[in-house]
Amino acid sequence: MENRIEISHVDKFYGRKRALKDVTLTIEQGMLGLLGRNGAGKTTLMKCLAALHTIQGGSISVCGIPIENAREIRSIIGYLPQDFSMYPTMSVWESLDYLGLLSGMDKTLRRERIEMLLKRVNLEEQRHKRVKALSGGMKRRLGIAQALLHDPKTLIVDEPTAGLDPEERIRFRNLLCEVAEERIVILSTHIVGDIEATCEDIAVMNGGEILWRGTVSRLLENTNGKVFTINAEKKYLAEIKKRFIVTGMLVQNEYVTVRIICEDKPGIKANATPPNLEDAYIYCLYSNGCDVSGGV
Amino acid sequence: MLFLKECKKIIFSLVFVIYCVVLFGFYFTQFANDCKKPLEKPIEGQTDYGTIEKEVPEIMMPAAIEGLVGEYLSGEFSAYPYGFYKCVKLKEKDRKKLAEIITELSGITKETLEKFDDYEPSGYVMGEDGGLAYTDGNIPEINIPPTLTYDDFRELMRKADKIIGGGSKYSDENIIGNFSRIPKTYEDALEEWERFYNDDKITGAYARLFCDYLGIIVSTLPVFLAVFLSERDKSSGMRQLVYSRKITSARLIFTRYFSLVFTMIIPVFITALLAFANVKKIYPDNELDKFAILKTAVYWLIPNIMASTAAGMLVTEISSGLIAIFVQGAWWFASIFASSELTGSIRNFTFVMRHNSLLGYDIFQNEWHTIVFNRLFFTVISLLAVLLTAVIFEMKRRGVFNVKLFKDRSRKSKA
Amino acid sequence: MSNYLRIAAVNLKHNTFPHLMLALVITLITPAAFGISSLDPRESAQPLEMFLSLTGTALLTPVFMPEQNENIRSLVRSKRTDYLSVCLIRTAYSVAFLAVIFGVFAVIFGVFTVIMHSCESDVTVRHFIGGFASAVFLGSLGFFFSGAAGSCTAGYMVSIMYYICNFMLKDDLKSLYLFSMSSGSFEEKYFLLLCSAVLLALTFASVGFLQKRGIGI
Repeated sequence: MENRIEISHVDKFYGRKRALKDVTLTIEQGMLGLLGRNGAGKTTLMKCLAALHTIQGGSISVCGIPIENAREIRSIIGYLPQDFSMYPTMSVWESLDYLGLLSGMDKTLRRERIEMLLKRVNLEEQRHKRVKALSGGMKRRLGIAQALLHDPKTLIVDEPTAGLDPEERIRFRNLLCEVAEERIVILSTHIVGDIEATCEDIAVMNGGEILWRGTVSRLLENTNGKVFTINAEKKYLAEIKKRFIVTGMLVQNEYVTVRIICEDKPGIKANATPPNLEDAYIYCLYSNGCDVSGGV
Repeated sequence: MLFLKECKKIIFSLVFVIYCVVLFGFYFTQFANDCKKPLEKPIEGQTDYGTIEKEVPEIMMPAAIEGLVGEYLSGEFSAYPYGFYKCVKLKEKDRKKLAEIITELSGITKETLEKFDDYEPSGYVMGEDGGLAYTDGNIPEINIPPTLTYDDFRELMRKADKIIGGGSKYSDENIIGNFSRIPKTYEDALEEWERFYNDDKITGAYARLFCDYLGIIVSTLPVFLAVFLSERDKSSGMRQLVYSRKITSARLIFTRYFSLVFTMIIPVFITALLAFANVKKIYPDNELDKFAILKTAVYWLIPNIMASTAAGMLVTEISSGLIAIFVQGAWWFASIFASSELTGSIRNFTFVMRHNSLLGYDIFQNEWHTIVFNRLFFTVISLLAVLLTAVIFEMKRRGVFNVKLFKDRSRKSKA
Repeated sequence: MSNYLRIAAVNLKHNTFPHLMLALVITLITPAAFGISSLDPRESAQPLEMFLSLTGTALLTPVFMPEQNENIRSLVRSKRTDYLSVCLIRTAYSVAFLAVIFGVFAVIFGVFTVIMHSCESDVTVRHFIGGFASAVFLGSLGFFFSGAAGSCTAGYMVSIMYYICNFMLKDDLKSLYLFSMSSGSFEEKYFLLLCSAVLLALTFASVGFLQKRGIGI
């Protein structure tokens, strides 16, 4: 079976609101980062991929299986929802066992996989703890363990690092990278840092559409020569904000250093700088006609 | 404004819609149904004006003793210990005790009782021609000892009731209604009707009937809305956000409480207006008190709504919504079925007040002090319960209230 | 099959346990409040229909409760085993518990009848079916509303309100009258059972439909 997800011309409506507009995307083995604002349609797309939502137009196939075949899709997909919760009275081990049961795994396989995954996500000592007593990071790790339990070909993780402390976040990203060596991992986030650290392949979503698809380096290339820093007196800040897209600023006494995006060099006082992914993302939104004036 | 926001939240919820549907449904099937034509004035020369209860020892004593002997011989005693019919059968030991009482009351010896085996109950039986005929039944001859005073008789009946297990026909509450009814005379009936017409001014009587019906449901429905509001906070993970706001616990809880009570009163008032329109329709020519139904609803129904809401909020805060529904259900059940009577049984702590009659102005007036105490009691106790809810909410907010009286397994925590 | 049994066992322990306890409390209160030694078929129908039937509300209404939290719901739904089969398992054992509860009462009545009258009677079978039908119908009402509306509070509300209405609206409810056996009529029971089946099916259909639309439970 081919290890590939094909999404073509997919539409999804919530009542009259069109949540996905003609989305076409092919995803190969490895990690894909879905980047977009809140409400861009990332979660909707992921839920469609996990066969939790039906689509109104177009088609999706995961590893050759059409999405309509929900039962089979679910046996090859691991899904970690945005806010992972579990029946609060169950212990870590019980939760995994129960979810494995729902995935149709037999007893010995469940035992084996649970032991292995508990070790892998470093929850061995918490195995008898109740879900409600877990910290945010532990809960996330339990989440990824349950998503990997039935050894899925595709892993879908929705905003996995939201609410984690920096250390937990790094550990979590590394775990995902490891996992992605053997399968397709789709990761959605609005935190650019997550993508920078984990993905080479990204797709930018906005308003239910795929705005851009490619590699991180390509996105950076596109933005090359369009990011500048300006040193100015504080009083000009409002004026600068009005004229340019501001992606960062540093205030020092009466002066302010502003990082801006602009198609052409705005003046002699501006210095060109190499773009970072955040600039590139904002520029991508901007160049596709999105309103980014709310920037920084 | 928080109050209006909370009201809006409640009004646009499904449970509120169900509340309104049930309330209006109840109004139309019960009250409006009883209110289709005016109460007829008794006419002289009618054969039957109904009966009234009146404590007349000469009537009560033979009737009650006959009843007791009959039930003893049939072996089954009917009783309503919790408002439901219960068929009581006595153990041999208790039967012996009861036989002694019967001997004291009726002069029938133990031997006669034991040997008597062609007992037939009195009552209406189907005759051969298909019609109903009254038979006297067949029981041993009763000779009430002349030395038996009325007080002794009542005392013995009390003992009998105790042996049967309470709630029998011979208990203090039931004995008059069961065995001491006298036919109403034309004068009695007319007097009662005139009270309805002159003292109650018609609307007063309808106001009581209205509140009697609606009281049944407004003393239990509010708990669902209270539970709904608090559970939604919990299950949507709003709790922590709410905890961290500036608003004081007391203000938040009381605002929520009053918005619940307020929104639930609105449909009650609307039905009260409908009820008045209904009464006006059947008495078009009488001068009616426009506000009688509304006024009665205020003092009769609001304390019910307040108490049910407060109980719902308090129990949900302490344990869970499910327990709150259960507790309120049990309370309601006990209150509704504690008394088998539909009028004149309002006591100090009766939660659901009943008065299922257009008549009985004087009964209601006699109970007036009790009613005032009763309603004030429930109002005050409700406010205290809300205050307690606020205190517990505050303790939870500070993280000092971690004891759950009942472990709630159904709640999902997001913490 | 063994997997389904295991799913049932885990659900019983973690999700249904408190509701089962509630049903048990109702069951234990019944003989205390009513006495169960009466022989008249109508009278022995009273505790079954008028009180024990509430066990239906207690057991069937909360079938969807564990997944009222949307996050848990989408997690459970993303697994291979169909979410509705999990609910079906819960429904099935809840109905089975109801059958056991009413079975026990029917047997008790049966034993009393045999002891006191030294004769056999089919009264107890009727009691079983009759009481069970009322309980399942009350439960299905709550089940339907909590499933279709996505709110268990609404489910309890409708179920309990319907129960209360039965004390007042005997004549208006006609074939849906829950306490018919206490007034000597049995035909209503078949209709109640039929309606319960329809309600249960309708609930599963509507929950499935709402799921497909991406809304509701």
